[in-house]
Amino acid sequence: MLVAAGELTFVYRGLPITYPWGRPATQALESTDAAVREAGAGRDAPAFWGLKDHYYAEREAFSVDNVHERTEAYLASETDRDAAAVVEAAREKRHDDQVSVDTDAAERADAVATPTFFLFREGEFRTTITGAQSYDVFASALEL
Amino acid sequence: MSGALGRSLPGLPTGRADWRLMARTARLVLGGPGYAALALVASVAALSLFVLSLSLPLVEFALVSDLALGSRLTILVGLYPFLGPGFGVVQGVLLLVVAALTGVDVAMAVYHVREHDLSAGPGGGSSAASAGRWGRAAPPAGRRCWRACARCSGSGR
Repeated sequence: MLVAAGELTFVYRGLPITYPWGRPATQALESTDAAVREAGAGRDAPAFWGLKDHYYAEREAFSVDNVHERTEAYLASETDRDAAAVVEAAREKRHDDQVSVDTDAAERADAVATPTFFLFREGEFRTTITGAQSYDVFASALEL
Repeated sequence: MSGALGRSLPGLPTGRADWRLMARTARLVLGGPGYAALALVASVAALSLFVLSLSLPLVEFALVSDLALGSRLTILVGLYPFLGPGFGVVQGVLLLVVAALTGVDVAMAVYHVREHDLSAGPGGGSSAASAGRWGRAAPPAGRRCWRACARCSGSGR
């Protein structure tokens, strides 16, 4: 997913390997993204990124049993998306193909941990960063 | 409990006196500026080996790519605990403690080998092999005794 195009482009791919509830959560993210695009909203619409941040911030509270309920509660309270429709699509795994596209790409790239960042500059691969790092590390590696 | 443990593990420090002796030995060894510097270098090396090994592709990129010196340092320094976000507070403290203990251990091992005139040659006994004799050998004639071992301090077990 492109979130900005200009000096810097960030492409996000979901890799649900850390938690058992990661797969349904990633399906919900893809369903949220699909709903955003169907509504004609821009790619920087906050629903997708807000939900992703919510998963990270509240990860200890999520489980396989409550991921759909908590996702619907977040979307209903924090975004203008149709939360019930998004979660229904996630439950039915309507966008699971997109999740598989990302997991297949991660496998081809040997990404075995999250987060893993592949840094490119002017189309040329520079390096890989694994784990949380500061903005300064990214800026230095990309010479921003 | 420590007595029973000590009897079953006679070569390991298990009692309060053992730990006091180890602390005293470490303090006396590190009182020498050379050994203190060695402990510091070994600690930094141990910490660096651990944190840099977790990000080998990035470390390699920082070292061999055509980056400015400031960018290289920013990348490398950012991998260390408390200087970058890679480790939490508890993880960072534990890493620093382990690195410090490694430094102390290296300094004490070097002290033991040097002051007791041990070598890795036949009959000399390596530092690992001689670890069980720690505190039982007196320094050879003409060598300075830091009074750090049990025999010199007269508190051998």
